[in-house]
Amino acid sequence: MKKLMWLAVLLLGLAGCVPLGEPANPKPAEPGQQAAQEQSGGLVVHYIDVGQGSAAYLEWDGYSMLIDAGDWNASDVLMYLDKLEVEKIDIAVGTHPDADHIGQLARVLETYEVGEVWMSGNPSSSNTFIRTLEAVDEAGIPYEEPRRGDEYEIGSLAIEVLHPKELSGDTNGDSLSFRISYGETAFIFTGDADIQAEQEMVAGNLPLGADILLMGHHGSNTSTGLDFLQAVGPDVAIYSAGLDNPYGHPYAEVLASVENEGAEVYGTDVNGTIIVETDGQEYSVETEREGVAKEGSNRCVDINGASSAELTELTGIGQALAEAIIDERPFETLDDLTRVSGIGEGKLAGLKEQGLACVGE
Amino acid sequence: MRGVLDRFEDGGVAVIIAEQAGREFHVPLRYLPEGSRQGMWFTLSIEDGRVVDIEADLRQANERMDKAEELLARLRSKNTGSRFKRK
Repeated sequence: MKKLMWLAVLLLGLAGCVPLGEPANPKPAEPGQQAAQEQSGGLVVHYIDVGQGSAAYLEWDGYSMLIDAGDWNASDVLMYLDKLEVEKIDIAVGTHPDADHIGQLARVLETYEVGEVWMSGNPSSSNTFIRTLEAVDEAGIPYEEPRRGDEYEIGSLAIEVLHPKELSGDTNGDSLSFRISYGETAFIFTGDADIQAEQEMVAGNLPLGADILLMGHHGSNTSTGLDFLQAVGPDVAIYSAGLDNPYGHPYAEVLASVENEGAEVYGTDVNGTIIVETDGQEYSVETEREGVAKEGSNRCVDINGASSAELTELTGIGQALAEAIIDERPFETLDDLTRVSGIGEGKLAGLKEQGLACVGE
Repeated sequence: MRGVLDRFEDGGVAVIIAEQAGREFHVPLRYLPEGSRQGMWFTLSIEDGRVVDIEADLRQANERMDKAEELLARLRSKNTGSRFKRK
């Protein structure tokens, strides 16, 4: 499997190979055209920019699949599917019930003809989750809870289920995880599965090698552990995170680790929607915006946990003020620092401008 | 307003979503009532856009979780399997 730059793709197209630059078949094929489409078709994977959430849309051979549906209080997934002029979705997956993954799934199910819904089986008590199940029930959509070792074949696409083997009750840890292959190109999706889940996948004797990895849990250091990363050996690693998200996603050490293993990193926060196209042999990556993946703002001086020496790294904070801050802990917000005698609005503004102080647990 | 503890995130933050109000709050763990866990429902008092008081609503939490379990059981009982399954 080879990754090509766009220029190379265009040259190959001119030379008579499959023109990867052409859009794939977003609409279902007519029954009579199925064979021809399978021969000449390709797979397009859209890692949709949904801010702090996750959603990927796959289309191939007239089939389609949605893996997660963005955040609950947004409509970006619906707008994106609308822009693609999607008519039906063969499989809609909620990797786990958190509202930043199944967010718009209920509305997707109400808007499109959906063939099947796959979920991990862990419940949530949120109305976002309950409404999703009600939408499945009301539309009479077949419901499936895949488990490790299950295999699915949809046209030329194969899905191997990597996780979970059985539910533990930990919603992130039980995230549905897949290896999806189209010809010789393979993709991994793991939702918010954590390092323990990744270890189980590594120990599970299932093939993990893949060209493109969607980094677990938005690039947090709870996921993308070294053993898993080496087992996958991706050329391209993608994370889905919101610009300036409050959780510090993605983490610097995770980005470094992925880059050290030789992967090229793309993030929806800097690159917008990321589209990978493959003919099953070669693939290309197209991004909405150029930019280099950068760690989230999780490197900060925690005013509730830092030592007096660390606190003095903050603009305008000397030893005496550092000690006064420690005496006044905890603070709920940075603004509450004005409780400390000697910290006024001016000093607070300077601190905020520096951007290094944060409020941790 | 009412909100549900959807998940815990990095940095010791509980993500509480107030779905009816269309709002989301990030609350440090130390401000949660004791024994709070994922799926807990709360009554939230909001001032200037911030949560100033938070009270567990066990009845709502149980009622919603029962509803989710019941729906899951219903979908499972109707499941005839994926038409794409090979193994």
